[in-house]
Amino acid sequence: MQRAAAASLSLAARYACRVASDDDPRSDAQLIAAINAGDEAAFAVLYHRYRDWSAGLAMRFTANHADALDAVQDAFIYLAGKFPGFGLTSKFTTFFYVVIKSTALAIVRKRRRIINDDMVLAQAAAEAGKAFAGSPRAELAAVMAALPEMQREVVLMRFVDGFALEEIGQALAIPLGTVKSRLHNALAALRANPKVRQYFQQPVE
Amino acid sequence: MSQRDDDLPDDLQNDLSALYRQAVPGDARRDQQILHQSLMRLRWGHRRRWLLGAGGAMAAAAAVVLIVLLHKPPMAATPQFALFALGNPPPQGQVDILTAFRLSKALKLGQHPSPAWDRIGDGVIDQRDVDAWAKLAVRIDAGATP
Repeated sequence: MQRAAAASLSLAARYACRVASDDDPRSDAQLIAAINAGDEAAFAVLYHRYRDWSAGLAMRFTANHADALDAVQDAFIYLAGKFPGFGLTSKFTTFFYVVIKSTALAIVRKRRRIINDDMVLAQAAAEAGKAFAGSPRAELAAVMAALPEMQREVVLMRFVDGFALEEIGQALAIPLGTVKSRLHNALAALRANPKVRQYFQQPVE
Repeated sequence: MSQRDDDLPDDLQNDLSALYRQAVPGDARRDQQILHQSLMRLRWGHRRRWLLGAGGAMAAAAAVVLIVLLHKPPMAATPQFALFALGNPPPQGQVDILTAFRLSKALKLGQHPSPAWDRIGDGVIDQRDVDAWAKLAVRIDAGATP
């Protein structure tokens, strides 16, 4: 009976991979409702909708593809465990940002035997520019790595992940004023840094 | 915060994206693996909810059965009650310790002795009356006048 169940699950996953696509017109809230009702195909749609976003975010912390995908797996398993009865109270990305970050940091801590998240984050920031050594991007990465983690995170959530300021506050569980303050201080530090000043010498449209 | 503070030049945003949002190539087999594990968890969650619901109903039913089983039937239904008839207390010259025992037994069986058994005269026949009859029996045995 267990073999039959496992086969059924494997079949469901293969089928779900085949049919799920970005063309599904349902909103995230509608997909969540369907999953709560037991619709496994809806879970597959949600996975495919946010797989690339999740993996790209996880890479920020893990700096390698295998660990990033492991983090994505742990995050979606965690998400699956919240059903039935899961209610989305914010945008899906606002909720899932924290989950991805948490699973990615846990994997890095475990693999590299690092004790705390601050060290993981500092290491991730330092490794960000390695692929662009010798280019202006490497300089930018070094400048970003020198920012306090709290400021760097807000800058990246705002300008790389596309979160609104309110969504950043919601995801990080901090007041909007704190978000604005961190962003303001980070941007001021970037503008003042001679290594990245050239970016700000162009007029902002 | 001013409008300027909220903006970054496009090329800076592009370079930040290149640095901090690197694509992870698609892998159908890995996707399937991730979905397989996730669906296992999803099915477990739904199954657990069903089991909790069924378990709750079964627990409620078991509690009702337990209450029915533990509830003692009225004393009048027991054969012992039907067989033991207390009657009236003996004349005072014939009171002995068995008199008190018989009253005590009648009370334990849930019987309602006649008012003649109210030794202390408070309108209630209870253990205090049993004690009073016992004291009387002892006094009589000791030769005291009731």
